Amino acid sequence: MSLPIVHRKFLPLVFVSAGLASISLLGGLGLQAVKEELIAFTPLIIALPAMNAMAGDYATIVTAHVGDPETRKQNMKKLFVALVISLPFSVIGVSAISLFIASIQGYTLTTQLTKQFILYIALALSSVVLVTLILISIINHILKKQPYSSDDILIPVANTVASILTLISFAVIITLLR
Amino acid sequence: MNQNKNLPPPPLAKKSEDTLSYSDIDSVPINLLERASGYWRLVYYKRRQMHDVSVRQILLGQFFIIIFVGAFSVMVEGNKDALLLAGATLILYPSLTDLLVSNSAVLSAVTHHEYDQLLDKKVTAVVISTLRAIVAAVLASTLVGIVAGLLGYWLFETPIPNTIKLATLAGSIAAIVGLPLIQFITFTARNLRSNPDEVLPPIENAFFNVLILVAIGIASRILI
Repeated sequence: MSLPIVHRKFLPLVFVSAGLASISLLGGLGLQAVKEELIAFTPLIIALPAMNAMAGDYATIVTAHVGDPETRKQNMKKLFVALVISLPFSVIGVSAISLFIASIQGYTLTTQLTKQFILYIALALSSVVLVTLILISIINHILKKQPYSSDDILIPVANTVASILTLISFAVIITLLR
Repeated sequence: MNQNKNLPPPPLAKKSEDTLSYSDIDSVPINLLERASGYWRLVYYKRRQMHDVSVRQILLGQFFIIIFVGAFSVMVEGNKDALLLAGATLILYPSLTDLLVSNSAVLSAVTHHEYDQLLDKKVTAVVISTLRAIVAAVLASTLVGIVAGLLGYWLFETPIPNTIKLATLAGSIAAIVGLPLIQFITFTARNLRSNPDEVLPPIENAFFNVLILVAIGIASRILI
């Protein structure tokens, strides 16, 4: 066998990855609509990449367990408990790091603004994870009767949905904080 | 004494028993049954462990993202004004991030799964595959730029050529910096006897989420 890595099909990779990535433009449109306000609000621009990465991580975890035919039933309760434990940790972590870095960069924070920021981040992350979980459960239920591998479909769908929802929730947070 | 009783039979006996096929459970020797039940119990626990929900691992992944993004958020903050320079900067952000995350995931998975099958020219193969992944990411960034350019012009009246140039340059910066680094982490994980399939996804996710935002800022400064 010689150099299997080198002989990968090239153009399909380019078109498929560009096509899938283009779906995420929907979330980008939401951000673009509130661009000036988002950039002016330092804690939110710091929280943006962290929240997007966290939502992607949760989407992958949820999909891995919902889509696992071997342990789906017994793991659903455990997954719910795990999410209830870990989501507050994520909210506190991302809020703390964003507010801390914003304050050392000279951004003025009021108590009211800090409370609102933490509340909206908590609502946004919980909603994204909950909607992704419900949507993936529905799609998984539909796919059970279809001759497709659920992993191949669920993981990209979950990541795209979580990413779009996170970015739209950022646009909503900015609108609420105006 | 009891421990001696539970010791497995000598290799010769084991081989002869294992190669026999039994049609009646009552005819299977007790020691073979004991050994087999222990084995399957171990397999069951290992599999359960692999499929189980681990709060610790979830928290570890989230902790990594917070620390990583926190450490690099100063760069994001420093580049945030540059995001206002060009038109469609934030339209491009999620698409370019998803693009680079999926490209790096493909690159690291292919490298990890196929590296051991290579008989010769291993270094050349890895270098070429990395270069191909970079070129693929740049071309795909241009395609994303075309779609983003059309949407941006339609909804926000941002100039199409600027969006295409911005997407191509930001995608190139992120690919040239990020993809070789992901290859390096893949090999580091292999050398440390860790599974790159498990280690890399949170790293790729956090890394490209920050890198793309910084790359768009840098590209805006270069172009405007």
